[in-house]
Amino acid sequence: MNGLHKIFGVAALATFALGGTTTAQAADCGTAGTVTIAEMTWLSAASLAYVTQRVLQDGYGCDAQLVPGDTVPTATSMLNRGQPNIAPELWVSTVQTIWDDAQAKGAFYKAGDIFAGGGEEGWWVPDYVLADNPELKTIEDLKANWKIFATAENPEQGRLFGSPPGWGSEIIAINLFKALGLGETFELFSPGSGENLKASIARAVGQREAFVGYYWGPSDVIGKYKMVRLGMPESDPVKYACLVDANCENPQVTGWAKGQIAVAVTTDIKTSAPDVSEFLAKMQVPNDQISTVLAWGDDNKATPEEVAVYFLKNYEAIWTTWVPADVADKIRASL
Amino acid sequence: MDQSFPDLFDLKSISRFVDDAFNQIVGTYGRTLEAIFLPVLKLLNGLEKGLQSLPWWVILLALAALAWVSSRSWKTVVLVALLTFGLGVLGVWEPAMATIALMLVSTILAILIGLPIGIAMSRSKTMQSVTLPVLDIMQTLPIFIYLIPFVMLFGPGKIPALLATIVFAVPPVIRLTNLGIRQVDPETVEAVESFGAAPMQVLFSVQIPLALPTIMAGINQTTMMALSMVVIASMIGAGGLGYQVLQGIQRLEVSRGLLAGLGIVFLAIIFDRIVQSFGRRMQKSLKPGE
Repeated sequence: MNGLHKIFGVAALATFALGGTTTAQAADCGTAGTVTIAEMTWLSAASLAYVTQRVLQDGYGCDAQLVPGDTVPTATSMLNRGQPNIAPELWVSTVQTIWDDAQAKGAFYKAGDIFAGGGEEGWWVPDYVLADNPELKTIEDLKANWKIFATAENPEQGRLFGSPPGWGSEIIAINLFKALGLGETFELFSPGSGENLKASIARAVGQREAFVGYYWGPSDVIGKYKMVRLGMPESDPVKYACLVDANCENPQVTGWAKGQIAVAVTTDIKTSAPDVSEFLAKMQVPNDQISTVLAWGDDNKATPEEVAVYFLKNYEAIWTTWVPADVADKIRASL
Repeated sequence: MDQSFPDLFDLKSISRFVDDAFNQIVGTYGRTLEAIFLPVLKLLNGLEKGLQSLPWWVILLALAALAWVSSRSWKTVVLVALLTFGLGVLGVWEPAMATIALMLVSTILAILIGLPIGIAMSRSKTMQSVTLPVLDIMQTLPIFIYLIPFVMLFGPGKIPALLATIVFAVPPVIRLTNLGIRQVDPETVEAVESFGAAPMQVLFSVQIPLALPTIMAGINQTTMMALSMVVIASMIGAGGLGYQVLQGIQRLEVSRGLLAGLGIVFLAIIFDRIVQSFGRRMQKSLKPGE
């Protein structure tokens, strides 16, 4: 068995070296060991983890297992223990120092960008807020227009929902809050968790109340509640570097950088499962399509696994470009 | 997979119905519910601001005095004072005050709700057999199941945290009030009744005083359970010590989580000692009467 794997491995390596043209050579997992995939708590990352698992299991015959864990714990574990092997949706900016460390040590690498359009972070409002308040367009307009976002609890100030504690975006929100001088008219309200942030948006939209706060796309929330990102200046790398620093002394206003969201893979996969690493390098979904898939999932109360199957069934045009034809056939047969 | 359980009901459409109905309720009554609880929220915020604006030594003296009143033991007073001082040393004074405010208000409300229910249970078998399973559900249902719906209904922040804490913490005081009153010696009750005491007189001058040590044990448990909710409550925007723990966990800063965690432990010991010694002293004062 081992010998067979070796032969396949060498053959695959050869095709890889020759430019990765799809050949008649059957693709193979390459490793008899378990390949672990990080399943994160939000819908898109969890669904992508199931998509990856289905492709590896049914397409390549791998023993693919899901490991639950959020961004920071997952990246830390990948750096220190080499497990899980694959994180299909890793927000690089959230774990920048761990990421840099891993690059230096060669613990894991970026196989590709999972979203064609990158990650969109920022402060979002429901679309009706913009329609009702034409003077509000950018994050710089917030300070003067605080009255829109005042609450019964605190009628003297607007409420800006920051990011959940410990997320990289929390530091950015605090610094940006300072840079915009929002302290005079706004309270920076910490939602405490992603679930609470989502529930707060759902509540606000359900009652057609005003809401402004941190969120990210592509995500089901953005699609489902028709959230619009407030305008912001073009991201300046120098100013942005200070914004992400908790000890930034003089934060300046600048936009969120386009999020780098990587398919992160531990380095050993490159050698032990070359076919798989070739697939991971090609794995990518367009932003608007993934938002549509996620909104379907939310509307139909689908589990991440069901969303993954829905995606594989209905978006063949996207995923068949990731894998050789014979692998695609096997996946199709398993659905 | 062919051995899987048959689909007896169309669960998907049922759950969609439930979700739609819930969203309808949120849309229709959300604002009203938030307005109803606004006074409680103002009280809570006022208490928090008040505790935070007082100098630290005032709080320390107040807690030490409370410990003296409840225990009359210097050992307890010194312990409480040291632990309160420790909160400042750990650098978690402000969040600790926020946590105390939330804990105090939720414990007081839990007692106000729990005592009458417990008394009613002790006087009626039907009431007891209806209430007990409800309490079982409240104590076993995972908190997150009602936490996020509370946020949708009441808006994010302290109110849903307060309500979730009450749901979680009220069962012990109900159970032990019921138990305490039921355990009062029937002969004592009979003796008092034979002197012509009315049922209310029996309840307030005999049964409740004799049951007080047990009731205090229930209040103590309720206080502790309210404290143990602080981390979870901070996940829906209640702030306080739990928020520091969350930040620590999320950033993998073991130190920050540990400091805030120790702060919670200190608070727990402080309030446990105060409430417990109060109960113990009451028990002692009852002894000679027997």
